[in-house]
Order: sequence, then C-alpha cells, then structure tokens
Amino acid sequence: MQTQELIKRINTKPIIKTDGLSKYYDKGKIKALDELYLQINEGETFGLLGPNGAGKTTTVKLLNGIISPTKGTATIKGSNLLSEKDKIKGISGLLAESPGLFEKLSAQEFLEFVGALYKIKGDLLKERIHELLRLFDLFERKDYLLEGYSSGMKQKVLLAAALIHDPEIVYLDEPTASLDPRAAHMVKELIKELTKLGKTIVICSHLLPLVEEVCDRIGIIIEGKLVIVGTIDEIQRETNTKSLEEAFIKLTGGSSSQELLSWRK
Amino acid sequence: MILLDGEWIPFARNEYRLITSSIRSIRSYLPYLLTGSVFIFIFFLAPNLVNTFLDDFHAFILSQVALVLVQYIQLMIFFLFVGLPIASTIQDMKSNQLELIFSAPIKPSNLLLGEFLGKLPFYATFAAIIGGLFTAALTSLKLDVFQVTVILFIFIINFLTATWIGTACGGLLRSILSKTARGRDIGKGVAILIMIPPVVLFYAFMGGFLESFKDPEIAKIFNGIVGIFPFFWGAEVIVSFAFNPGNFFAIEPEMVLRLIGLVSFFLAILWIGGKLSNRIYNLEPTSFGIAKANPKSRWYRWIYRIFGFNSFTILLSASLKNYFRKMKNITMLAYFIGLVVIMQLMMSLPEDPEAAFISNFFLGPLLAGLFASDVTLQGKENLLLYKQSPTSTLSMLKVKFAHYLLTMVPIIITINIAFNFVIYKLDILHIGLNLFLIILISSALILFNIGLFLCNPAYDEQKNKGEYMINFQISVFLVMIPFFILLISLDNFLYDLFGIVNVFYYAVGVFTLFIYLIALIVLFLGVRKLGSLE
Repeated sequence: MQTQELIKRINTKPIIKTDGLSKYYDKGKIKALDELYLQINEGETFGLLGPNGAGKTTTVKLLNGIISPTKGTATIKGSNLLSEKDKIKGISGLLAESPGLFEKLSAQEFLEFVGALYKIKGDLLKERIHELLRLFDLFERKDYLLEGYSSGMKQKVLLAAALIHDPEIVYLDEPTASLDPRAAHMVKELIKELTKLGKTIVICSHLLPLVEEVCDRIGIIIEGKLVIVGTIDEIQRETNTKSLEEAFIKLTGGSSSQELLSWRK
Repeated sequence: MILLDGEWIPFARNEYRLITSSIRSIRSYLPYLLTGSVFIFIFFLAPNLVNTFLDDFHAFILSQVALVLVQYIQLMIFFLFVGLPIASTIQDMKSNQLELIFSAPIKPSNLLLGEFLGKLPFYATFAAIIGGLFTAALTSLKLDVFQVTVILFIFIINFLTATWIGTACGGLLRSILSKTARGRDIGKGVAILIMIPPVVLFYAFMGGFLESFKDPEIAKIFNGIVGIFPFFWGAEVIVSFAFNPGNFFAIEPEMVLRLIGLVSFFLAILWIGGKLSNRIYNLEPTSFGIAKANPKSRWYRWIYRIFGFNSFTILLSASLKNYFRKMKNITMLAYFIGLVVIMQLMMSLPEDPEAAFISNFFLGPLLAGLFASDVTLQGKENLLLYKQSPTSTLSMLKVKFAHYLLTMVPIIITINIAFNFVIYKLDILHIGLNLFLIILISSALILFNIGLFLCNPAYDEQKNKGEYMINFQISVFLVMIPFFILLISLDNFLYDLFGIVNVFYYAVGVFTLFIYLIALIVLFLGVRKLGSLE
C-alpha cells in the first residue's frame, strides 16, 4: 500500500498504545511477551507476524483483556487495560486461534449466545445474525448443529461471532486458516470493507500474502520481542531485502537446503 | 442483586440448549413433559412403589435411629448432587470456550449462576423422583399438608445447596484444570472419582449398613459429625413431624432456629460462591511446562526383555504408554475395581467355590469392556494410522490383545486371590482352578470386545456415548444370560442322562467354548468392518 494513501485513510490518533507490555511465565523464565511498545492507529489494519510460539496470540489475549500482563500496561481507546477491562472487551471482537465453539448448538443459537454476552437487544440481534449468516453463505444452514459443519464453515461462524457486536477493534488470529480459497478471498474483502468503515483490525497470521494484501503496517515478533514495525516498504528497506518473505526469513532465521535433507544420512 | 441484573440469562439458556441439543424437536414442550411426568410419578407411581418397603421404613423412622436415618439420606443427597455438577463440568473441559466467553465483558459469577440455573430443571427432576419417594413414604404416616410442605421445603433447600456447591466447585476446578492438557486429563479422572462416595453410600444402604445405627454409640458418632454442618439441620424437623403426625407445632424453638440456619447457610454459600468465582476465575496459564515422558521405566524394560526389541514390542509399548499416561484411564480402572470390591464386601456370598467363582466372574466383562473399548476410543485416525502403513490388521490385533491381556490378568489374579482367601476362604486347588477358568474366559472376552468395538465403534466417549454404553451392556449380558441358561439347562440334562449332581464346572467348561466361538465370530466381523473403514 502506498504511504500517501495510507496517510490519507488512517487517523494518526492512536487507538492501541502499549507501554512495556509483558507476560512472563514460570517465574520469569519464559518470556511470552517482553516489553512491547507499540502504537496502532484508529482505522489501521495491523499485521502481527512471527514464527510459532513467538508471542502473537499472547499479545492479542493481553490486548483483549483475557489474560493480565506481568508488567507494563496498555491504553485502548482511552481505557486502561489494567483497570477498565470490561470497557475494552465491549469495544473489541476476537477471533481466537483455537476457537471454542459449542458444537451442540446451531449457528443461529451460537450467535444468539455470543450476542447476548455483549448485551445486544432482541430484534437488532436477530437482524444482525441473519445479515452475518447471509454474508457468510450460512443462512440456509443456520439451524444445523455446529458439530456437523466443516472447519471452514466453523471459521465463518466464529468470524460472525467476532463481529456480532460491531466492535471498533477486531483481533483476528489466523482468520483464513482452514478456509477454502473462495472463503479466504471473501474474508480478505470483508477485512477491506471493515477498514473502510473505520474499524481497527489486528491480524495475526503465518500467511504472508494475506498480510501483504490487507495490512497497512506490519510488526514482526520473535521470542516475545517486537523486532521491527513498519510498512512493507519500510521493512524491506530496513532489512535490505526484496520481499516480505525474504525479510521474514532473514529476521527469524531459516534452514539451508543441506540441513533440510541431513536426516537421510 | 446478581439475580436481578439478568446477565446470567444467556448462560442459563445456553446450558439448557446444550443439554437438550439431542432432543431439539421436543424442546419447546419439554418443560411441560417433565413437569407432567414428575406429577404422575409423585402422585401415582411413588405411593405404589413405596408400599413394598413401607414396613421397614416405618420401623426405622419411628425408631430411636430415625434422626441418623434421615441424616444418612441427606448425606447421600449431598454427595450425589455435589458430585453430578462437578463431574459434568470437568469431564470434558474446553478452555477455548471459556476464552470465547471471557473475551466478552462478563463476570464469572454470572457464568456460574447461569450454568447452575440452566442445569437445575434436570437435576430437579431427578431430585423430585427421590423426594417424591421419600414424601410418599412419610405421607403414609398421616402427616398433614403443612408438615409435608415443610419437609418438601427442607428437601428443596438441601437439593439447591448441594447442586450450587457442586456447580461452584466444578466451576472453580475447571478454571484451575482447564489451562493445561495434564489438567484436563486430571479433570476426566476426578469426574469419575467424585461419584465414588455416593455409590459407596448407596451400596452400604442396600447392604444393610443402616442396621449398625442401632448401636447407640455409632449413631451418636454419626450424628455428632454430620450435625455440625448446617446442611443436615432440617433432619430433626422431619423426624419430629414423623413422630407427631398432624401436629404442625410439634417442633421445638431450637429446631426452628436450625431451620433458619439451614436457609441462611444456603443464601450464604450462594453469595460466597459468586464472590469467590469472581476472585479466583482466570484464564492465566500457570505454567508453560509440559509433562515429560519416562520411556525407560522398569515395566517397559521388562516388556522389551521378554518380547525382544522388534516392531511388535515397540507397538505394544506405545499402546500401553498411551493408555496409562491418561489419568482418566487409571481412575476409571480404580473406579471399576473399587466398585467390584464394594459389591463383594457389602453383599458377600456364602463360602463355597462356586459362589466365589460367580462373584469374581463378573469382573471379567467389566474389565474387558473397559480395556478393549480403547481400540476405537483412541480415535478413527489411530485406526487409519495402522491401516495406511504396511502393518497388517493381524499385527494390530496381536498388539491390542497383548496390551489388554497384560493389564487385565494381574488385576484379575490379585482380586481373585485376595477375595478367595479372605472372604471365601477357599483351598489352593479351587483358587487355582477358578483363576485358570476366569483368565481363560476373560481372554475370550477381550477378543469379543475388540471385535464388538470394531463392529460398533465408539470413537469418543462423549460424542459416541450411546455406542459405548450399548457395547458395555452387550458384553455384560452376553456373559450373564447364556451362563445362567447353561447352568439351568445342564443341571437337568446331565442329571437325567448321567446322574451328575454338581454340574457347575461342566457349565463353565461349555460356556468357555461358547464364548470363544462367539468372540471369534464377532472379531471376524469387526475386522471386516475395519477393512472398509475410510
């Protein structure tokens, strides 16, 4: 995305601002997230990249208020993460990496349940559920139990659940995982539409093409440390590489072809 | 206050929908159906049912031990209704569902209260059946309507208290255990163990344990222990009404105070449970540490020494490790053994080899079903793993048979020897003979159960509960029915033809042949089914 375009669309007012946000386990031996200083602006689509176990999911869980930081804090739309968790949860929507569907409910029942958690009133909730189910091509199957859905269909229901209360900030942890190309394309288009509406979106993904296509800025996180933040152009410039994939491999480290086949000896 | 804000409603509705998911077509009129059935039971069935034991009940309730009898019943209710919500909460914990719930701005106390109220109609139905029987028995003493109302009120408060304690404890255990795979495994184990106390109390009740309360010292100790807890403070009122039918004012002021204490106790634990859950509930992983395997334990070294280091032994060790590293399997095993031991202790039979054989014999189908269900409970993918490799089906069957036999035989030997020596006091010859026959039959039962579970697979205990239970029933009845038919028919046949009086071991011999024949047929069918597995 061109920097000029970006400047035009994104409000420079920060909506998420972390201040040394950290999460340690086992008495500090394991640093799931270490001293995160990050600013995400209102209306921005921000991509969080990193290898497995880098701390992406921990970051999202912390920002959503599901878990508490060991040290540091964050301000989300003016609310303090430590003292105003409920307010923060009310304006955030989360699509988790390992989602917790209630498989013995139908899609309609599940969305009713999630909507009620966010206190959406009767008629509006019904209307919104139907709209979302139509958007995700699930309306005809709204009364089927979720246990019978394919993984792609389940992912669509969870996306609908994350959006049901029309949140200002949407956290999407691997949003296109297990989706077929058509559904993945629809999700990408949806993300773009949400950005046009001024929503702030934080995406965690391993899929570099997705991040390249929809994100305004990207942060790469390795072993709990944010090592680089910027637009794709800025990251490439700083790492002296020609593509995001190259930059990612350079920062996170990769295996040589000789190493890959060494097990055959 | 928490009840008034209504934030528990989505959880209660969700719980109700989850429980009634399999009967969605009748969901809208289920409340009427349940209420109607309960009314029919209380007013028509229960009075007829209690007639059979009314004399014994009257003898107890109007005796000196009436108070401890009522307290004993309350104790059973307590353990049962504390155990049920705990077991249902922690037997299948899904931390991701909690994550989804807590990503919304909700209080844990609302979640707990919602779950409690959502489950309540179903536990209440169960409680109404027990309460209905008890009330019907008391009504025969000519209590007036006010006395019956107070007794029902005590019963309802007891039921609500126990269910709430169970729900709150289950919720708190879930918040602790659901964070790690090890914790979730422990949860499955605890869910089984938590039901042991009510089962023990029930068997003790059936086995005539209440007779021991006729000893005033034992009754005094029991009353002294349980009487401390407010849960049992309504017992005196029930007994007082039983002794003074039609006299509502027969209760003393002290009893009224205790009754108020009982209600206050319920309200207090309701408040404390909610407060505690708000403080304790969190989804913070306590550790990122994962359980480490001990692949070279003495037991596995011993297996390698016996069978050699080859693919069979590696597969066998893998199968055993995967089984015994699951806490749920170990607790389930402990539960079954405990159940058999309790049954033997509470309902001990006369001291003769045949009775000893029969009472030990039924451990076989239970254990064979328990172990061999593992063949499919490991999941469809596990079976496909065998299928997609050049390892033949025969190799898999050999490994699984060896696994189940190696685990089952030591248990059978230990239990048989212990009971045959201690309770039945048999001689060595009969112990050896009984043991040999039981092991022979149990081996056939393992083969039968492997075949049965392959024919009618239960890939998941929760999702395939129906298949799992049906297979267990088939396994148990396949042993019981033919065995007794053989015993009766051979009794006549052998006596008429050869004048043989004691046909017991002949019947066992023929039964052994029969069970092997059936086992091999079912195994063949199971293997055929496995061949078409996709």
